[in-house]
Amino acid sequence: MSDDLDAILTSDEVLTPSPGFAPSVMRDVRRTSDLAALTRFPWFLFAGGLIGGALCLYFGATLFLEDHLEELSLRGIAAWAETVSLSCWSYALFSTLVLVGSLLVVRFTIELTSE
Amino acid sequence: MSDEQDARDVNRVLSGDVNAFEGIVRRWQRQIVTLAFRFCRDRERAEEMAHVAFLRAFRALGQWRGQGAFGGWLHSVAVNVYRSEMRRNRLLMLSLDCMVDGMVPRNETSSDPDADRKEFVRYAVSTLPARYRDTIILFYFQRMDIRETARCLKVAEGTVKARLHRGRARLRKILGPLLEEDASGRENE
Repeated sequence: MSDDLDAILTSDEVLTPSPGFAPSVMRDVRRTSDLAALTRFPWFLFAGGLIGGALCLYFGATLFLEDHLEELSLRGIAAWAETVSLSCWSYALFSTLVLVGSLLVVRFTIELTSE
Repeated sequence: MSDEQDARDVNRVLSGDVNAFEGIVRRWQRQIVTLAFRFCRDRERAEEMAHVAFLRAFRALGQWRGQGAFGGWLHSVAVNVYRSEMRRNRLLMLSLDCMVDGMVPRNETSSDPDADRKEFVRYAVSTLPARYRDTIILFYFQRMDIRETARCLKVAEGTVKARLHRGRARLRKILGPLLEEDASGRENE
């Protein structure tokens, strides 16, 4: 029995796919590839946005400090540092949340549309 | 199958020439569809599963970095797809009793007198618990050695040996009475 079983398990069995199999796979491959091209993450735009955001932060911080220079100078350097760092951190946090949210939206869109 | 051709086609696809993937599909379609058939024992479903396997391989093509044969990597991807499909569609696998009762068509077109016995055994393999089924399919049907089977299934080599041993024991237990009936039936003809 065990020799029989071994012989059967190792016997050859090959299936020839139907003629339309390869063309049908390639149709879906091309569709997947076109979809990926449409929804590819716009890295250049993202980099541009990042640089723009950094410049806005710089100029905004400069303007803010100019307007409140007198007030802050009365309260000392420690107050300056605290105010500047708070505004920078909150801007950075907000920007990070927006970026992460955008990445997740793009990722889920690709997943949903490629199923 | 040429490893160089596979590597060339993979590089072309990754450079943006999607049509180069057709060469990979045509070279490997027979093996990948046959492997799927060994899991599900249904031709139409085998082609559907193989279709999904090729799409998954296309999307993950960048992960093959030329380490090891492309065929081995493609088989790994296909096996993962087939195992998920079999887990998801567990209820669609009929029990062995259905084959005995004639609900699953036997191999009537083959000229091999042992065709029915072989089909019994192969069908019985597909009804085994997944860990034994997958190991037996890769080791016996796909002719992989212990190391390749272990790598494909991501288990230790000792685990593969144990599963082969237990899988065969289960098959002997299930098939023993059926094959004895079949043999005595043929003797009485």
